[in-house]
Amino acid sequence: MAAEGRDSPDFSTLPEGCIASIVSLTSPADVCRLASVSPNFKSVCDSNVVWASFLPLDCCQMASQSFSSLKELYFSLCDEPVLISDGKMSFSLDRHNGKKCIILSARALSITWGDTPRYWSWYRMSSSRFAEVAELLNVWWFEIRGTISSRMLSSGTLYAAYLVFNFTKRLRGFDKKPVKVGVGFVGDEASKRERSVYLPNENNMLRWQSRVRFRRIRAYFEPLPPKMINELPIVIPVGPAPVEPAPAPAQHALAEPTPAPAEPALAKGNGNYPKKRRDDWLEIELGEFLMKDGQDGEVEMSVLDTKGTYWKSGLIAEGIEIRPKDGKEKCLYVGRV
Amino acid sequence: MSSSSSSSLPPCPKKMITLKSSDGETFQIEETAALQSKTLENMIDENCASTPIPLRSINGKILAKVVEFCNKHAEVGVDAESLHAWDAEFVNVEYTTLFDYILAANFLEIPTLLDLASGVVGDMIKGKTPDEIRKMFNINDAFSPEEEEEVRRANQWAFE
Repeated sequence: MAAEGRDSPDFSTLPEGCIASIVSLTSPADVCRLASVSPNFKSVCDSNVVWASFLPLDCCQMASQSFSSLKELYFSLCDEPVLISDGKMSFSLDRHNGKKCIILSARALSITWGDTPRYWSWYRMSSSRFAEVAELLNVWWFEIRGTISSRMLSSGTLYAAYLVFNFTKRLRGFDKKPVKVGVGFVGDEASKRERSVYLPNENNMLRWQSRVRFRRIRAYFEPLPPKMINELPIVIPVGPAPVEPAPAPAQHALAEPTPAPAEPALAKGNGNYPKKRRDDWLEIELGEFLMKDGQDGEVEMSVLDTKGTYWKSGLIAEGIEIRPKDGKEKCLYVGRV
Repeated sequence: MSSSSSSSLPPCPKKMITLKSSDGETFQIEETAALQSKTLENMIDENCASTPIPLRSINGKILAKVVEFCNKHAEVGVDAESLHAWDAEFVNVEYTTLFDYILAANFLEIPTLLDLASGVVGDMIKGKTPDEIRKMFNINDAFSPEEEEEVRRANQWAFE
């Protein structure tokens, strides 16, 4: 059977079942590419045997309708998230690797002052997959926390959590200081990582910066050459005019690490500013965590700005998404989860 | 490992069965090790294992390795890490031998060996283009260019 001296093996000697067991150990993206290798491969790559290996075991009961093939079910779970836990969470699969993605809706999160209508308001939004989103009306103490059980996620996967949000016209306060975000396993302080990020997106920040520059320019009573304008530090980012007297002890400087000095492009893609999502919401990464095989426990995510004594308003929280970190590149391995 | 049908204790601790390769070599394997193969398990259950079992699709060289694999995986007290290292060494072989392992594991229904050898080949084809795979494995039953384009279009996302 083993012909010695051949340069490369002959795939055509393998029965379909063997090819299926090989391609099942690659990834959904590989399988979809492999389908164009040959008719034989295509038939294997479309088979239920192969797609069963990419579907999480508990997936089949989540499908709300019947599907003609497991491949069809797989892509339905990738493209059309399913609401679970009384509609408070959304479940889908990362199409590149079949890993589980969860969005905790705002109702599944713990939002400080969230029950007080003066501070937070809840309503339906047509652009949200959930029944309700939470709009921040006004607080000093801004605190959103969420937890998820590791059982809801795929093992052997590097995950990241993202706050999914948007702004209203009443946006105020978030330009003053970055917020603190963090992710880690509950009870495992060593796993916790915190960092500072900006919630207003780059355009908002740029607008604020240009206002600052304009004020400064007027203060100098003469126009500055563009180069100097770019070099001006950001000192007082100015938001929409305050309506009520807001305590303002921290008006003079950004207390936390300042954003990249006033270069026109505020370092894109470094994760410190939100990005626009395909669904038109914004997202900011809260941090990443590694789900090892057999890891059991709860992962906690947080977004905090509780130290600044100034009003914050105009943010709409849709929820927190937990998905494989850059599924295309960084997932550790794929297979049954 | 699922137990064989007999609920009575085996008369002696080492019950052996004999396997015969396509080129006439015979191999002795303990029944407990042979039970990793569903195919052999069925034959044992049906009392067909008292005479040498002919395996016409597996030659002596490969059958020797398969027996070695089953013996290693039936050993008691091997820790997971050293077994993992042993496995990695076991499949550190030429493509042709890997394919023979896959065929043998498929025929004998030994899931651990099938997954191990398939995983190595799977790693080789991960991230490769259809062209690279065709070259790598001498695949000649290709689509016509139009057909290939159509299949490719249907799976466009995976090429991006």
